[in-house]
Amino acid sequence: MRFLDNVNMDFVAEVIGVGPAEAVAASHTQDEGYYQAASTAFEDMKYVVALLTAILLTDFASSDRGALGAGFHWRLAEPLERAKQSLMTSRATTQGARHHRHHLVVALEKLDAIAGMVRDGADMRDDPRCASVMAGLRQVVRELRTVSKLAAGFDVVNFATSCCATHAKPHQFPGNRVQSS
Amino acid sequence: MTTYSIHVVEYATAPDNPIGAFLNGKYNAGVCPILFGFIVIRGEGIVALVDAGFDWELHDKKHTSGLTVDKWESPAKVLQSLGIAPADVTHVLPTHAHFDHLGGLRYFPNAHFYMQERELSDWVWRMSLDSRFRWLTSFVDSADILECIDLARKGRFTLLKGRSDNVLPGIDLVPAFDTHTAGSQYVVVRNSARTQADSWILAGDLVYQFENLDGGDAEKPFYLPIGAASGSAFNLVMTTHEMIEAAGGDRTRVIPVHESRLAERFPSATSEYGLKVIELCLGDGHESVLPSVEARAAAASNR
Ligand SMILES: [Zn+2]
Repeated sequence: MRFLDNVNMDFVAEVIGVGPAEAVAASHTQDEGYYQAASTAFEDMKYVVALLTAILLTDFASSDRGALGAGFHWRLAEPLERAKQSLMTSRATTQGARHHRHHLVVALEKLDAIAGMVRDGADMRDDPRCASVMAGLRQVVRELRTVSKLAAGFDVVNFATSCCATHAKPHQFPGNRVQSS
Repeated sequence: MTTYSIHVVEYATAPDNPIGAFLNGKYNAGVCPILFGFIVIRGEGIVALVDAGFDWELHDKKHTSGLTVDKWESPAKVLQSLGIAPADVTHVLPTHAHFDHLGGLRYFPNAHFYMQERELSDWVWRMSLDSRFRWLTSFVDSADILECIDLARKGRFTLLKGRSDNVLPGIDLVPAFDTHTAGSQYVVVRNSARTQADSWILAGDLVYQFENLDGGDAEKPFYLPIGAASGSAFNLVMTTHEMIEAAGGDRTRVIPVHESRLAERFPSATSEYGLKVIELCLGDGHESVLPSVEARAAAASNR
């Protein structure tokens, strides 16, 4: 179960051999298994970041502090565990893939530590660990952005379904403007 | 007396966007360019931006799928057209939480931010649903929300509970719940002695194009809602009416910020970056910036 559906496996498969940069394409071919596992981990980690952000936001800014309940915290565990499994059982052989994996692992370790702090359900607004949770989450975000730049198919924001710029494959019609029917 | 100067300062363009996303039901109408711009409101010691833009430096232009952005330039560069720097911005009024409206928070180190609480609380609520509901959250970058939290901790982010008049002198923030997003808002600038006369409505993504305001029929206008919305078309139509009423019935005073034809409707100039500066109005004592924008562009092309 992946919450933020920013990577689809067909696309990852599609870029093999036709990636934007030859190096990426080559490493995708050789490390296809790794990139598929990494894609699962990446999506799960993005989901955990979003959950943690939602928890922090509720602690800080919401007038309805009880809105999330303990279930929200509990939900951190499953995607984190799956991300660990996918990454730990995957093998990266090329230098590009190893570099990619390195940043994902750094992000995952950080994320795991943060989730541990938050999972006990403490109200972060009054918690002295809050500053390190915030700093840690920002570091995770930086690592995930680095990961997204190292290979195709790892989008931080899914622009293909985003609001105004939604045009994965534009179809050109004669006349750029509204046509009367 | 006119209090504020209002400019649309373009910082990026996107060439081919499906018109169906902008005009509900126009699925086969082709594509059109859009502009990405800051709306800058200046006067009475205030430099307020409607929306924070997006941070294309953080995204990978090579690998990012599904978005073609032309000519993105940083706020530091494009705001030079008005003779201001990002550090001069005193207030930012994000209309909603989509990446291209909330992604540039870090660029404005001295600004205070005002957004509808509902926009964020609804995001949290939607996050609490299971994976089958993920479309409802997929347009928001949680890293942007993280920035909001950080700003809130520093006392620089105010979440509004509904309509808020005179957030700044003569400037109102009006919610449009369950429209383009759950907690969108539009900005009303009452520019003449803070009365309704001479008002401008800065609409965020509640309207994308002029046709949303008149259906493409200037003689017998009707409200045509946008296509890309997580809320209801009904609410969008009612909000369109409300915005035009707030502009004293003058739909040309309702500004769709992604509408590239704004540069044809209002006085404009093209900067050295090939980006437009559009002058909606000038406050008392302010001079047009357009001659200096053109002079700088000419000087740059001679170099
Ligand atoms: Zn939007």
